Amino acid sequence: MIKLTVNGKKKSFAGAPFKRLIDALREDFALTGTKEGCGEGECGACTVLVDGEPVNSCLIPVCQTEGKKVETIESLGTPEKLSKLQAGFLACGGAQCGICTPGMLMTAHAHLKGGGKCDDKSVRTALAGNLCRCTGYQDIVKSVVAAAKGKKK
Amino acid sequence: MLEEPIYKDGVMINNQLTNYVIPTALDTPPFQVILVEKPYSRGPFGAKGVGELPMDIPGAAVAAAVKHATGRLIPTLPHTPERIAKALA
Repeated sequence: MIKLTVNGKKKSFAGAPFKRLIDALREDFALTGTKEGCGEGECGACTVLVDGEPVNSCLIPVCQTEGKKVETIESLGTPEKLSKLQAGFLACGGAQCGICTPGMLMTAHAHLKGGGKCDDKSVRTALAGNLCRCTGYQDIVKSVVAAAKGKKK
Repeated sequence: MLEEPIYKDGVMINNQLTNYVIPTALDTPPFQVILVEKPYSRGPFGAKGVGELPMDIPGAAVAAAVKHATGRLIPTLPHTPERIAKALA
């Protein structure tokens, strides 16, 4: 039995220990906000935070999260009460098709929470592991910068 | 500049993001989008598709820039460093 914390709630997982974290989240914990893009660790769409660090949930088995804190996109906000970052994406057009968006938000969330700078270059560097085919990144970066600046006020 | 699908026996062989590399946030320059709202005579109510144009134009712009810089028009996309080096050799 694997014990872990998912979005602040204690959970236990009794399935195959080498099940991919993304499958455990989506199938066993019904948290389908995390999306699978490439399934091979290149695109970052499936990014979740494990003890605050962004990881590709398609690459790590659920057993590696024993005793750890996993945060998914569902922990950021709700449709009624968006987080500042989500509101920034909404205001600046940071989402197009939406597959990369949960990963983008989690990586940006980790970057800003970890005290990362909110200038264009730092945000681009932080998001370099998250691929997006629609936006050309311009409005995603703009969204993160706008949300970060809003936070500091 | 980056994306070159390679086919073998009718199947794309570089069909992973590991070997078919697409731009990241660090590769993409800042840009500004300007919509030119000019009705298109052949579209319904003057409508014109915009979804694919951002894919079409940069390749031609890079080709024009390479021609401007080197005097050679390289007729095949993408303009990878290898292709440009070969064309100029």
